[in-house]
Amino acid sequence: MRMLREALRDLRANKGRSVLAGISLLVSLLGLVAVACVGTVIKDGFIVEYEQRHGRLPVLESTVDFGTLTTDRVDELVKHFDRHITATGGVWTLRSDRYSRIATVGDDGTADAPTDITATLIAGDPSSIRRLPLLSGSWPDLSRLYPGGLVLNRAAADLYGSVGSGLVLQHDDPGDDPRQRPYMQSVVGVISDGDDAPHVYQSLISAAGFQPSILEQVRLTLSVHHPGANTTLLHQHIADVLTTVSADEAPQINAPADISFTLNNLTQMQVGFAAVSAVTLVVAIIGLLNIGLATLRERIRELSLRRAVGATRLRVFGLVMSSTLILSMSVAAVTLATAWLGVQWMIPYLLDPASALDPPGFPVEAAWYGIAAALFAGVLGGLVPAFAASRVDMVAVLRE
Amino acid sequence: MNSPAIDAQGLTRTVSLRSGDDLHILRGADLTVAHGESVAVVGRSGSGKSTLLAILGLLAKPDGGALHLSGRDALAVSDAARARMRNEHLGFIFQNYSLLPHLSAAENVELPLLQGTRVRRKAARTAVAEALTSVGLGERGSARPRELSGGEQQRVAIARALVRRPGLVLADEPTGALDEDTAELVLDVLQTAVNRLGTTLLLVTHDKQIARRTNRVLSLHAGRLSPSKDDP
Repeated sequence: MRMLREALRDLRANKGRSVLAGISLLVSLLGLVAVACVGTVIKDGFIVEYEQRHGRLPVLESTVDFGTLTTDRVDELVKHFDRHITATGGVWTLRSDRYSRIATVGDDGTADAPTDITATLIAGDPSSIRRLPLLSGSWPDLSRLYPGGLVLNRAAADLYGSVGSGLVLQHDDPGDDPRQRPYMQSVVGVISDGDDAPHVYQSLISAAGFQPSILEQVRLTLSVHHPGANTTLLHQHIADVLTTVSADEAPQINAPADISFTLNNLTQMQVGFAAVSAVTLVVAIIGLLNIGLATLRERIRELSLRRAVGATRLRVFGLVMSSTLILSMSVAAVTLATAWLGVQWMIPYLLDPASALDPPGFPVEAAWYGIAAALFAGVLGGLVPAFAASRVDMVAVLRE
Repeated sequence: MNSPAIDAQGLTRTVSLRSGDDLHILRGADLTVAHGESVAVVGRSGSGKSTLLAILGLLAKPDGGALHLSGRDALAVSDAARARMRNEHLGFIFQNYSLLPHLSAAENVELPLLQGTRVRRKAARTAVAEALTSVGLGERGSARPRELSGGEQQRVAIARALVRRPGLVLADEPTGALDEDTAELVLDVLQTAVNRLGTTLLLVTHDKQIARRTNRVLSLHAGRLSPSKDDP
């Protein structure tokens, strides 16, 4: 405690030196912590974007021939996947992406001219497979035929109306087939799915109820996510689940898209930026060293006085070292506070409210990097001045 | 205490000059000072007075000779032990006061109490207050050195030298930076304080008037000590 008091007095007595050294260290520490924070946030952003478009990691999918599909068959598949996937802690969806036509309905009940849209007919738990923040309304019960209901993405909601709007829908190419007649559905939810193009989601069972022909000669895509499982286990799990229901002998099971390349590139970029920050840290350490040694020349009489009144070499070493460490850890505290504020204030401000990325918390590893770097800088920057101070010529106090 | 406060025998000190020659500052200086005695060492500028003081004060080591302080061999101990001896048994007063400008008078006086053996804060505060009062500066503890006159600064330095109640005080030209009247005042304060504590005083000076106020005056000439003509 005594040494701490003396070290604090020492810092106060040399305010200019302390501020200069502190600023130099602050810049490099901020750089290091910012690289860690931004890198983590960007990486999370890429992962979230992937999970929004394709599914939460790890996720695998397989486009399978399930044989002749009827609504009963689909119902059977749903129960099968619930038994073998949901019951084991996994989540799944079964989907078919269709070319569709959609039209808004006016107040007089007549439909406007239809426009093209992509529709995903889906069963299972889409919001657990993919990150699909609900902007308004809710998902309909996807296991029920009626009353159905549509979920639009943001782009579609901007064009066709939000929750409560009535829309006329028809899947695939229109023709003379009476089973292909367009039908009316209400919008019950709006989500953010990361797609800039308009997109509509509808229960597969409900769509098949309104337009049975959509199940003819179609392959459905099963997507499965199992928290905590690795890709190999997940692959095996899906293969086992499909054995009794797939008409394909060896269904192809793949990841929807490859994120590893992007993540590897990001990691390399982070390492690169961290290397640059490390160089600035070295510069800051040299600055600390330089300022420490320069100050030492001014303090020779003071240090020799301390030795004269009984300070040991170790005590003088400890005094100078403590001053440097207090300075570096104070700078670390300022750095972490600044970075924390930046993460708390700036990122939510910059973040799209409809983004699937939750406002990120301050990454703990960035704090550890900052503290470790500050400690490292304090020790290295203070070691030589502290050693030199402990060796100061005591007779200097006798000289004018 | 039977052993003298200072017992120095055959002290030598040589420095090498840039020209390659050796400069013999001390050439076998002998000095014995009894406990409670006050001794002045006089000599011309450059005679080696400060070097002698540095050696006696354990700030520097002689090249040869023996030095015992209160019977303890001061040269055969470790650097840390010598630091402890300086802290607990010696007090220093310098010509240029050597107060730390960023500390108050009280904090300057407290400095020896922060080194070496731990002293509790309450006891330290009491010791500092007593030391400042003994030199007539009891009310000026919070003043910074720049707010004090030369005489007051030197009195603070005296208080610092005496705060641990050392057995020996070494003063290097304690009145050298002061005018005549202030010098007399400071010397009065110093002598009163050391007499009250029974402390041995060795002061180095070129001022014969000052020297005559001690019990004994020695002259340092040609690297050796001898009784001075000014010895009272």
